[in-house]
Amino acid sequence: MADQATFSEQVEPFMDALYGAAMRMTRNPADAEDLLQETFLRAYRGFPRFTEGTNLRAWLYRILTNTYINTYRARQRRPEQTELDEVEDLYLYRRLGGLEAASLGRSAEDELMDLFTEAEVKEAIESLPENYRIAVLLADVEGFAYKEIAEMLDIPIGTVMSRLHRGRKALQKSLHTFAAARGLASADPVVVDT
Amino acid sequence: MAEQDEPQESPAHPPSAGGQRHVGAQPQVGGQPLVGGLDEGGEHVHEAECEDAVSILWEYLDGELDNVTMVRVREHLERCSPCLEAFDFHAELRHVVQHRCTESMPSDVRGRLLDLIGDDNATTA
Repeated sequence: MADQATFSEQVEPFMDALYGAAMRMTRNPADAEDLLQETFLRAYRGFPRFTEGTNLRAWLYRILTNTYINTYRARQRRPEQTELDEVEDLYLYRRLGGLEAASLGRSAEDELMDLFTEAEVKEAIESLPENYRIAVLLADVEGFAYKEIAEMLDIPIGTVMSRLHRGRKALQKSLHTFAAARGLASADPVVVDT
Repeated sequence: MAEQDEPQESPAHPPSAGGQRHVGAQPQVGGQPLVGGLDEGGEHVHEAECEDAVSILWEYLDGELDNVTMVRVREHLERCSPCLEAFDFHAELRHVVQHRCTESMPSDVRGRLLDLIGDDNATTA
């Protein structure tokens, strides 16, 4: 049985990341703080039932995510964007023909990092429909496994996978729009002469 | 057929279990379409293999494939540098997204949260 007296201390290492997740979910600082307060209250109250030594981080994110879904989620559910299934797998990759890491003497990762500003990446995530946004957040930003996400959201693993597939495609389309606006990506796939 | 312009770089790192990311050789980020390529021995890598590999790119990078399939993908990546580059790109893209979303909780927010879960406050209904 976890001891509430140690709650702050145990939760402290996760606070920055939880803040980030709350920001991406609610998309504004005031709501993010409200969400976090609600989350922390629930977590504190539930802490005696938390089994020490198990995954505290997943437990906290489960509470955060469910609090968000129950409190802030738009009443109007958007329909599944099944048209995203038609978006090609390598959408962004195929349109970034302009990067020449070798000539600029930087690593390809530096190139890629420079392509997108913090504001753009955050906006791209925040513009995702909620279901996809939560899945992409939990997988790509927070690094949770499919099974963990499925348990947190109480959905089948298959649903996690399809939301991730669609969400990542939608994310790539948004990122592409930003890159294209700065002349760093083409509208159409780059074709290499054979 | 995609060209292999440069000597094959370090072989694909085996993916780690438990959802860790793996980043392979330094890719050339470019729009090489995947239409098959030449493997190490100059044998044509079948286009269908590339399509198959790419279709489960995320499951591979997420470390969620069963062992048999994972090994098959890894072996394909060792033979097919266009696919390896595409896989590396996506691993790096995720890293960039992760990095760009890193956030610090402002100290005033932190202060209010810690007050909230302070000794007496949170125990009242």
